[in-house]
Amino acid sequence: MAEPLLKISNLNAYYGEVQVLHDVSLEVYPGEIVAIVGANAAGKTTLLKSISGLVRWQGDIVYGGRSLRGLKPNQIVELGIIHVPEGRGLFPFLTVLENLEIGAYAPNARKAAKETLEKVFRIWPRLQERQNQLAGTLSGGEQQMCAIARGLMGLPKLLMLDEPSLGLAPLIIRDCYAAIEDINKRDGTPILLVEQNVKLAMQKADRVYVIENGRIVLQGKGAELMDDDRVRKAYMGI
Amino acid sequence: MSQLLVSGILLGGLYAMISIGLNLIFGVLRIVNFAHGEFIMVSMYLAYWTYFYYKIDPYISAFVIAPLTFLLFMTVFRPFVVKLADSSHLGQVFITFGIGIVLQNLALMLFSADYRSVDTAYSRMRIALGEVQFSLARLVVFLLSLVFTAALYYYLKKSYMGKTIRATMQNRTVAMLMGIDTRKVYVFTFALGAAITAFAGGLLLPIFYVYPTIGFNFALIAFIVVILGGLGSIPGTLAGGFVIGLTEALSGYFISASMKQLVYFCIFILILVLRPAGLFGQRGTEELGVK
Ligand SMILES: Nc1ncnc2c1ncn2[C@@H]1O[C@H](COP(=O)(O)OP(=O)(O)OP(=O)(O)O)[C@@H](O)[C@H]1O
Ligand SMILES: [Mg+2]
Repeated sequence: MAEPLLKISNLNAYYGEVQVLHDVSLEVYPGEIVAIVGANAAGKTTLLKSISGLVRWQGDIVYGGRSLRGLKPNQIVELGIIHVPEGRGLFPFLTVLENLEIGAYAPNARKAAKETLEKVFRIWPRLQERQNQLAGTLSGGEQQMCAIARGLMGLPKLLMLDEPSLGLAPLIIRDCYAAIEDINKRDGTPILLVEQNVKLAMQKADRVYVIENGRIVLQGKGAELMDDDRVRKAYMGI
Repeated sequence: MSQLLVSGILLGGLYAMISIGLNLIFGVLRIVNFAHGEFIMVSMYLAYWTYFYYKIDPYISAFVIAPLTFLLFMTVFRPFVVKLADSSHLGQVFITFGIGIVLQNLALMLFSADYRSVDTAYSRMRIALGEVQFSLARLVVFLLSLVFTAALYYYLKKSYMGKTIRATMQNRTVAMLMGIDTRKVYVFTFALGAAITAFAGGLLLPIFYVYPTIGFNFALIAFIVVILGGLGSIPGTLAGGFVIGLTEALSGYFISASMKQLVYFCIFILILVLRPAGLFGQRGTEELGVK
């Protein structure tokens, strides 16, 4: 395979004095969909937050050949690492359109904002219909749509999604993942996603990492892990 | 009666004017600034001494003092704003309260407790419209309060920076994930609020005496106006100013001037019971920034 786009080596992450991630190593290669699965409080969100520069970490995170050590969150966004946070994180009292505009904050994204907006509205016409509605009043499914769309406004070179399926009905989850696969196929944007639904993650992702108590305990191709007895027992209740 | 209404409305504009800066700092940024009154006091003194030594009219010097205030907060005082933005509400209360006291005592030491005022050509000028009379200086403040609220309203609502400010206030962590340097946003908005407050201070000088503790009353009214109008709502500040201005004028006449504070506190409580987010506040936003 080619060089990884993102290479995390021996990552330890902390909240204050409390260590949450232990010796985590992970790669994302160009064009891949990589999923991180694990139980509640395993440290999945913390891993994404480390990459985004929101928590203190040791070890190394290299993106496109360059270490992210010491970079501030806004500098990381400017490199094209876009993080769609857990629970959507929309600005509830901004309209859908304003949320999307703010998604294109970084200088290069802002220059292209008009075209990107057209593209986003082509993918999700529903957002265009509701562009002047306050984001906080959207339905759960629409909010997730808006959150991913807002991520696209930032022109991601690596898109990170934290539990995109959380709290959505099965049909909406299907649409949501169809959109994610589309982004990945059409633009070739690599995707790093966190997913509680292990089965779903294994179906959709090229590779999967299983994280337990802040450590990676298993990794492999999605399809292969699905046949792994340990995984089936522990995560799929079979 | 019409005299009372006009006085009340002009007073309301004045109250709105001294509250706009606080609305940016407290209403929008949710930084509790108990030194707001002292910001006004200091800018009044600045305008006073500029007038005293250089004979520069306060209406003119305001246009210098306000941008200067903005620059100072963007540079020298920047660490102070960052510290405030990163503190809890209680921490902000202590820090700003302390700063207020220091500023008061500095003023007392440097300028003594004397009441000082300027005597410009217009400060005693009165305008008569039929039976109604009012001072020119108050009319100027009133008109400028309209200009400032309108300009700021459109700025926050329509400009990209305005949207950035609102986004940052609604969710600071997510704002960072959008690529926003949130500290910069805090410093900029705080500096803007301080500059508008400084401008308001200059406008007050032809109307009020300045002395070291004058800030207290202004700050009290400004907090009431901002909360009454709705945190972060700029039209609300204007409305809140009018409510308090009119209440003060009317209750001063019909009840007793010494009771005016009691009356507007009652109205304040009544409105907040009926509309917890304030007159123009967006429902739900009152809980933003509660850390
Ligand atoms: N801001 C914080 N301060 C202190 N501890 C935190 C903080 N955020 C998370 N933690 C702790 O870190 C651990 C990992 O949390 P994290 O949010 O990464 O889990 P997760 O795998 O994303 O869980 P979930 O599936 O529930 O979202 C948990 O024990 C959590 O309590
Ligand atoms: Mg999580």
